[in-house]
Amino acid sequence: MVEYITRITMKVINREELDTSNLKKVSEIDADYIRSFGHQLAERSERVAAMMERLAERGFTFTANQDSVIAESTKVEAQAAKIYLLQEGFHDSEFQVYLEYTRKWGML
Amino acid sequence: MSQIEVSKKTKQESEVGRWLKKEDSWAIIIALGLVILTTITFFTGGSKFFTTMAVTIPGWSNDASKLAGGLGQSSLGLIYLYVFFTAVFGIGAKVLGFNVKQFIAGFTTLFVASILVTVLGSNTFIKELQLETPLLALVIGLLFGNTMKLPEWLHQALRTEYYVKTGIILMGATLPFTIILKAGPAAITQALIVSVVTFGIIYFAATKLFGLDPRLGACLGAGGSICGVSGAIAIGGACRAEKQHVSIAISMVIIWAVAMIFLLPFWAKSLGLAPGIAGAWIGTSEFADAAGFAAAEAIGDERAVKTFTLMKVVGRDMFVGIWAFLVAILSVTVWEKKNAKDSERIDKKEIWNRFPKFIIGFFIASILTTLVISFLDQKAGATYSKDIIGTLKTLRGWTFTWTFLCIGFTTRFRELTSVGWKPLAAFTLGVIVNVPLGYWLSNEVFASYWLSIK
Repeated sequence: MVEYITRITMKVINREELDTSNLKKVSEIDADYIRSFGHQLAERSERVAAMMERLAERGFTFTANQDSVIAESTKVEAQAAKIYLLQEGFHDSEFQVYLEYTRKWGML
Repeated sequence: MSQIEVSKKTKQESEVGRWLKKEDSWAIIIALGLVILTTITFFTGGSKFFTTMAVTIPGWSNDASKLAGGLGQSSLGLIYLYVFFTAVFGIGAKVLGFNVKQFIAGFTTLFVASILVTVLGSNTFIKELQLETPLLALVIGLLFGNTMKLPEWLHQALRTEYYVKTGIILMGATLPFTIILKAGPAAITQALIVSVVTFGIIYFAATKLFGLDPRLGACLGAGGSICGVSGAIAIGGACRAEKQHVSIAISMVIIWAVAMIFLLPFWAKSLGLAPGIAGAWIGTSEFADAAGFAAAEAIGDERAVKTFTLMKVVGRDMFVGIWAFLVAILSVTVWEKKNAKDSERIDKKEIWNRFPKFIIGFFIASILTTLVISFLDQKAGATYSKDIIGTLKTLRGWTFTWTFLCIGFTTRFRELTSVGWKPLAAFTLGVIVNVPLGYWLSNEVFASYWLSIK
């Protein structure tokens, strides 16, 4: 009756964590701040890459936008994908799951 | 390094491309396009094409010559109607990825069937049997759909949602925006009461009485209270329900929606309800847009269709995104037993993503025609209402007839009956409360609003 697509958004630049808006506003910025910012970014990128590798094993394909990587599958159900990521050691806060159902032909 | 393909799409490409891949978008393009084209031709003097294709079949009894004469006069209009809608629906079908050749063959069959059904529905004897065109289309569709295997090419054109959304936007053009504003608060309040109560009962029955998965309970609750199949799909997505959960909820919605197409107009007529109240009741207690329009049209009075639309589209459909957002939060916190801090973040975009976009077309169509009339003097306004709004209303009628035929052709009772007794019982409890509550709210609490809609 329905088809679905599971989308998992993984933010490479998590603006809430890195607070880049704050970075632009700080007038007296120092090297340590930038170095710390770089470390956070590298750490985050590594986590996203690891998630991508796990999801690729389950047949997910990937697209990207400005600050995120989006994994998509029409075979793996959303809750199953979420449980899998949690079992692999990732946390709820590292990804967002979006599940979209569509009617198959003609349905009322 | 692992081999992971990452395709970088530009934002513009993906947004426009994705927008055009949705039925809602094509319903908006086709219906708003019609509203704009007919309005332009009204001012430039070229509206003859559209007024000609707004064909109505005259009533007839035993005198077939009257019918033959009427059809003869309408033959050019029927050709225009067929060519126009085959072209616009066909273009949409191509972009949506349907098989266009099969779609055109299927739509041609659907079009011929719609003429036959409308001719039969215009017969005075059949009208006396209370078989108005919508019910007749449904009965004929159900008969064929459930007794014979329909060819694959016909399936391509059985797009209930495609036609009904186009019809709803055309409906917007025939509803003055002032009426929408006037009835909006009543519709929203009535819908809120019914939705909360019905969702609560179905969800409680499903999870607490029958021990079903909360995700299935939410899908059933949404299907029975918010907006039928669309509600079940939106809420199912929001709470990450399993495919099976959504399918069960859809089965429940279809079974009850088809039953209510016959029951609600019958009860409304038996109780002697005013058309406006009957329409509001159907808008409150019917489960799907397409089925609701069939039931409201079966009342046989335009006021019933108007109050139904206000109640269903403005009162209920519009809020599916907010419901989805709330259920999504519920699913990642309460159901997963996590506090807000540790749970997965739910993006507020969920509200917009799940919002049924065709409703925007409905509002724009209403605003457009209301503005045009307000700028015209009284005489020109009356001519615009007669020629253009009248034309759009007739064309809306044809899109609904295709919708009702599609409901019949695509509803396979055999496929809907393997859902188990627990979901059926939970959903039925909701129906038992929803129907009398909808009647009471429409006929007592908000009666004055619904009676004031002309």
